[in-house]
Amino acid sequence: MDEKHALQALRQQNETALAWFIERYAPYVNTIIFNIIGGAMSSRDIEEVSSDVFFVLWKNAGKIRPGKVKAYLSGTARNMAKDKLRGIGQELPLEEDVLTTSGMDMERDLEIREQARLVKHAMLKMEQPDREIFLRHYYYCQPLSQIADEMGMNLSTVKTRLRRGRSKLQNELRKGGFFDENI
Amino acid sequence: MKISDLLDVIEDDSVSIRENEIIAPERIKEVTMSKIHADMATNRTVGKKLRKGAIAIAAACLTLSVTAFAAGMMGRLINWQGNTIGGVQQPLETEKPIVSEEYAAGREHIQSILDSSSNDVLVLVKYTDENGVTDIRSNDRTREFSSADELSKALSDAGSELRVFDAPAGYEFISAQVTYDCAAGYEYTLVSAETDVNGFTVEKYTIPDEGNILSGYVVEYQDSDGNRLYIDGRLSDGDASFITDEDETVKSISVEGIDSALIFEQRDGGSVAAATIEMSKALTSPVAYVSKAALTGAQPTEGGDVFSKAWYSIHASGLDADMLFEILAF
Repeated sequence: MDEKHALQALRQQNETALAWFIERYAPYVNTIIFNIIGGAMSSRDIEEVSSDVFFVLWKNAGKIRPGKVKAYLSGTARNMAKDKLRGIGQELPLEEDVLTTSGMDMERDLEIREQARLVKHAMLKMEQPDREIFLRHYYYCQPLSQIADEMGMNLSTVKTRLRRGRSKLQNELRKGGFFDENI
Repeated sequence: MKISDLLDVIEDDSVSIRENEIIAPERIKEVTMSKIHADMATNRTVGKKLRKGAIAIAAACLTLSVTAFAAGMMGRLINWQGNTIGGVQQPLETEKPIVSEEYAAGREHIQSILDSSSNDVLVLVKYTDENGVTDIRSNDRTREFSSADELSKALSDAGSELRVFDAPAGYEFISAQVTYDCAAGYEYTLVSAETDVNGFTVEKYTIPDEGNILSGYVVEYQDSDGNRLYIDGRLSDGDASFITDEDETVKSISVEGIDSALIFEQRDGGSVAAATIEMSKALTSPVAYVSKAALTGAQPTEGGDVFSKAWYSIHASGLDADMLFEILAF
């Protein structure tokens, strides 16, 4: 079975197809969840979130484009794990994660689609490996030391490139009318 | 605002992160399947009727269903206490499901076989398409009743712990049915298996009468304005989560004799569209049963399948949450 046929079968609520996706992507999904809640919760919690992710895949199969299952799983795993962490009043321990807006309430005023457009645009404008480092830290929630290890870089280089990524995002937000001074 | 929160709108697969075997995929499979089977148990009676009743929006609050979500929305995952335990990111882009004509026709044919089958026997239809993907579906063994009193008597005669709720004033009885499962210690016996020229295999199973467990019921009422009210009670073997979207409110309520209860209110453009009460109560005597999933080749649950809770869903169109709660007079 390939991914196209597996997704087609999943849309027909075929359990064999779901098992195929779980076997293929559970380590990936579990790693993302672990990066986010692993320091604060048990393996039972990871198991719970991971099974919720695949349950949502089962329910949403009809809305997922072929070739986008992995990306969908990463986004769902990430958001569900983040919400689980918020549920116990803890925050992600990420480097300089807070972005202070000036003069306006970004959460209230920035339309979701505009926000998505700006962030996606900023991502595209980042050069490699800055983009990968930015995503590894702020999207996959990997610690900087792990990023350095997996990418074969020293820690200070990772920090420098991460800062460069933040600048790109800041520039895009500024162009979009949402400026801040602290990232 | 946090950068990590800004990235919630991204769905990325461009980075190859080092994956760790934190939990065996087999275990994830087992837990996920258990949630799916619990979800199927929820939908197998009420869900079908709701869709026919043109109030499919209610399915979203009956269980983990996303049909009412707009693209790009963030849904909330709610537990039985009414607490948010997670979020569900919906895809930003949607498309109609890609289903081959052959597959769609196959599915339709399977459904027509099931629809025309007797409700006294368990009918399993299998079909393998040209890509080697097998689809297996089954019917429910059911019995219809012509009054709420008959339904109550059937539950009582079966010694069921499922509780019956009185119809609210102003509502008239429309229909009622119960569903049966197979008690542990008995088994589904294959009585016939036929494969037609198109490759559809129809298997029929029976169990002895004494092996029947009355595992659920659904009763339907209607008021003089045509608004429907469904009461669905079923034995359940797992926990559930619910998804709500921004048009839906949920609050925890207290109902005498019930362990956990939630009330959902769905609005459509500012008007009340529907309200649903979900209730759960632990069974005094859990009921071991034989899952139909075993007939499809699924791995049996470790320790066996056991119904441990009674789960009730009461859904009404055209009522807000307070009105629904009030007319039920718990």
